[in-house]
Amino acid sequence: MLQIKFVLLWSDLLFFVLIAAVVVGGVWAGRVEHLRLAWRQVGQSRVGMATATVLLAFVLVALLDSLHYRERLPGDQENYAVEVRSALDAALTGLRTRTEKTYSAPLATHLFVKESINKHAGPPQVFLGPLRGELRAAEFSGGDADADLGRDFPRLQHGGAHLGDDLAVHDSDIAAKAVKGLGLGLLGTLVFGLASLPLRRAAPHLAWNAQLVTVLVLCLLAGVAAVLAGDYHVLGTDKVGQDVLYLTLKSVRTAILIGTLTTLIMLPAAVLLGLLAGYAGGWIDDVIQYLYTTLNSIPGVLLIAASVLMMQVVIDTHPEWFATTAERADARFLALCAILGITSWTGLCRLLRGEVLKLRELEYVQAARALGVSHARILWRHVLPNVMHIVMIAIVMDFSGLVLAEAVLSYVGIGVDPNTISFGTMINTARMELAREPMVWWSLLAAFAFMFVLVLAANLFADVMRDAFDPRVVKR
Amino acid sequence: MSLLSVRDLTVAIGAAAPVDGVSFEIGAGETFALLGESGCGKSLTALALMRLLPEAARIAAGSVQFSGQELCALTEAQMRGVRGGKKIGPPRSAFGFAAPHGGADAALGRPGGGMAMIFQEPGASLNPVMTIGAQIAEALKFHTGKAQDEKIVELLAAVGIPDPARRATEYPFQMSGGMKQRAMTAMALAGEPDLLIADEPTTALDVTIQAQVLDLLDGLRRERHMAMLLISHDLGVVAQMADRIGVMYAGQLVEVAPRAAFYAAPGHPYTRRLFAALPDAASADQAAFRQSHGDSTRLRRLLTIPGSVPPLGTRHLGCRFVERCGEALPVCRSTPPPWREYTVGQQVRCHLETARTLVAESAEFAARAKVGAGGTALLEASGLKVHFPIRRGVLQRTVGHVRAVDGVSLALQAGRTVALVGESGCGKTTVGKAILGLQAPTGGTVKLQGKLLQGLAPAAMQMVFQDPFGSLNPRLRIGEIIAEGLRALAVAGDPALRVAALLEQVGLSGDMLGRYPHEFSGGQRQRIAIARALAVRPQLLICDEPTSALDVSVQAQILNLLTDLQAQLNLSYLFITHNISVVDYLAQEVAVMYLGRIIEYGTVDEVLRSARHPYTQALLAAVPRIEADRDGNREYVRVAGDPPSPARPPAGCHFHPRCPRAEARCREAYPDPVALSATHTARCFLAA
Repeated sequence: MLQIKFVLLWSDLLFFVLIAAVVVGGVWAGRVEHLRLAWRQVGQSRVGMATATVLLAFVLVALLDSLHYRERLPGDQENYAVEVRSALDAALTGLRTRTEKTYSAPLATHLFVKESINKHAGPPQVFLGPLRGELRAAEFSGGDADADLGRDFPRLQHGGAHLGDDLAVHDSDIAAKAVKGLGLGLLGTLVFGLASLPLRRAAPHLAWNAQLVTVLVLCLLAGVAAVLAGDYHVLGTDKVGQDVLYLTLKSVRTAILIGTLTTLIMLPAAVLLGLLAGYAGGWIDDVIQYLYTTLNSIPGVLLIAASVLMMQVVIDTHPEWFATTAERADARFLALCAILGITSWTGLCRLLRGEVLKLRELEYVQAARALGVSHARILWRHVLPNVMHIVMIAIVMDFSGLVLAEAVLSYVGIGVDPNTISFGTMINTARMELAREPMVWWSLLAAFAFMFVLVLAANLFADVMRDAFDPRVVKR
Repeated sequence: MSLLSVRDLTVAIGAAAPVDGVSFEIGAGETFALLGESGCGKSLTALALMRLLPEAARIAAGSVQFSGQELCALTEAQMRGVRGGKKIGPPRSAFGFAAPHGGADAALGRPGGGMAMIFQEPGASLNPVMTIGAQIAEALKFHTGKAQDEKIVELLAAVGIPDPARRATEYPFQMSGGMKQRAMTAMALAGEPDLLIADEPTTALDVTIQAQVLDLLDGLRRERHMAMLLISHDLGVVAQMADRIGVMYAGQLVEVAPRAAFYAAPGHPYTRRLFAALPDAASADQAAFRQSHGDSTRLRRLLTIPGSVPPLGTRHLGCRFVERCGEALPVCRSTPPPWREYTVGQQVRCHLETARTLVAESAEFAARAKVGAGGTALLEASGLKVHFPIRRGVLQRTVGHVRAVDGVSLALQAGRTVALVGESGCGKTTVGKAILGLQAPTGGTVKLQGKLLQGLAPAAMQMVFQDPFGSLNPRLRIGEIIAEGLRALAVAGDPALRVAALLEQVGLSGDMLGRYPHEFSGGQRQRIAIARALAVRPQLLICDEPTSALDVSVQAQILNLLTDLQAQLNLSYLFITHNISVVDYLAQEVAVMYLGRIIEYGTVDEVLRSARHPYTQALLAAVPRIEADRDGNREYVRVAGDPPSPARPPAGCHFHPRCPRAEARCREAYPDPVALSATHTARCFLAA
């Protein structure tokens, strides 16, 4: 009997559907000549290949994090744990479970805050801030007590625990592990290079070398991180002692999903209304224009805040809808996607309307009308394929904007559920950490670095795609 | 000494050379024309002279001597002085002070003018957010150091702009195309150039406006003793303007000749074929044939140049025209032809000793379609009106109408061709769309074979559009494009077979149907568009300027195809065009439109050879013709001013503000049609 029960959250389902659609679309695009040419141009660009590789790595993490399950509890009855875990959680079990007491710096062996420690016996006592009574107690206990009870940075329970008392080898241990990690990374790249040889042969004109270099960099970083993470907290720990590397990796799914699902939700509305407004004209055009100008004139954050708060009330008043907290968080997450989608379709809709207004007067559309082709067919065969480049470019361009929007909204407190790990919630907690003295910087830096790489890769990829797909870009 | 002397000029884009070893000279006060079809390198030559080449292109070799100064050796700062300039500016020192006088000026030996350029599209070469005056002032200031208002007004007056003081304060959008080209010319004249480069200066303009601008340029050249480099594809314009002519083909000059010799007997096989491909020549032959045989059912086929221009980057061993030349010798393939003197002053780059007469192709006459005598007309449009409402204000109330088409009546017999002629904006395309039902008419009726049409016309009528690049969906294969009508109308039979047959019918190969439109040239695309229209077996084709975007040699192919199809399928054509020589060649009846109305209607001979409406006469006179020069007749009747807006047509006869013969009654009422013969009517009081 299975020891786990699979859980399919709504966002997982949508994400899988999206990936399936991308795969099917890719196969279809291979058959249509102009799309194949455009994609080939993307593949021939070094930037395109490198950024696509980075994005794929992120998507892989998100995909792993979308395979959810519940563990079976020990016992005769078929009971399952209330926590919903993902394949990524399973892979990172070590990271997830090795929590410390509170903050610790990257690769540290000691906590970041001092505690009262009884040097001789008993469990270490946490010194909870400047509590006057205890201070006095320490003072009154006299010089003898000083020897027993001191304030120092305690050793971490897991970080560098294997070193024992031999702290002198800390640096050399890290160096040795890093070298080992680099070796592993090199090996990984080699394996990948050999495995991708048939692909290289099949399409020799693509920028495979750029891809290999990117894979090398990714593998080296991952190798070093993986080896070090066995015994240290590579990116430190947060306030409750959770490994920051684990948190950042978990945030990737949230970012990717918010960037793609939002687009998926708004795309049908934007495309349909844009085509209709441009092609039909008259009162239909007026109504659609009225709709999006009205929507646009409401400040975006205000609209999102109002919708999120309303939705929160609905979710909170219906606890019976959700079996687990994960489901509740997922519902809130999807609702956020929908709200972002509803407020962001106007830009694409407006672009499409303008383009269709132009296409409608083109002679091949007129010729099709003269031949008695139906309006639906004209839209499908003559108009839609000729605006698809705008849609594609808008999707990749919007992606990075949405990732950033999630961070901002979560920071303001109207983003994802506080239980959902995301870049936004990480940055939100970092607000307090930056105000500390000494400052806790690694949490923010980790979130920033991952988000920066993701958004930069998405933006560069969008540029390459626009060059390849936009017929107005002069090809040299 | 010549003013401009170009030696072996070569422009390279990557490894290809779109301009390859071009040499010519222009004397002071002379007009030299560079003639050639699109893509032959004539515009790049002009840009190279101005050193304004696009980024990808560079001057790879050769020299350009202008007033004794080597332009290729000048710095960019000095070159700015030459462009449009009064002086070649002294080289500036590093601190921005002018170096002591002498230098470049001394090399010139006189206070020389530079060279200025005017471009094809006047709308795109003026800054839309600056007044005309300010733009001229900019040029004046750069070249003379000061910009007085009087000077601006003087320049505008010199280019024939009425009320120049007021016009100087206006923005480009307030001016018509012809006015903008004049303003552009005024800017070019600001630096008092010695050489004016005019790159297709009238191609974007209507024929009556073209005539005005050409006259203006010629007058200015004479007045200011300015040399001119005219770039054109139009043999008629060149005939009217040039003193000497250079013909370019695939990046090289192939013939240089004085005008008289050139038009009397073109030397290069390419040039001779270009002349033969013009419908004008065929029309003349046709008229002669008609007189001698009394047979109007034969149509002389146009001579075409087989094949197409070799693509850029082709490596040439011998003559570049060899693949398309009917008279090629073995030596033509292996050795580049030398320049040889053909007649006095006429240089031809060809191996052939003497020009042979063109092959017998030229005498070929094709049968015209049999014309059904009498009976009901295939198409009958009566009182057709298309008015577009002008809406203003918050409530979008209709405050007036643009009368694009205002009561047009036409009748078309099966197998015949009616041409609808007029300048841009006269409503001729709208007539075509209204007949087809693409544009809902405001009034009037359209009958096809006696049946009243409502909404979209049935498959019996189809349209062929002007722009061969806009009329085919770039995302569909041509097989799908042609089969679209078959599918929409559920025509019986196997679509694939029919599509292949249609492709063969329009002179393409049946196995091309898997290709995309971008793989075809302009002429081939137009053939595909015709095949698409023919797929649903129409009886009537509305051809909206089907050849005006094509080169002369390709135009001839399409016109031949249209006449062949007419004979085979007994098609009728409603041929919408502004090209009078095509009308003369192809049509049996002509309707001339002005501001939404047909002002003269009749057979080709009646309208084109004994026009009665002053507008028709002016239109015909404005067409630059190559025969005019042969006859030594260069007198033209000119019509002044611009066509009025159809939103506010003048009271009375719409043409009276521009009509040289207008009388008092013309200002009061619109004249009714005057029947001049059974077939000929004109809407003019003076025609009666």
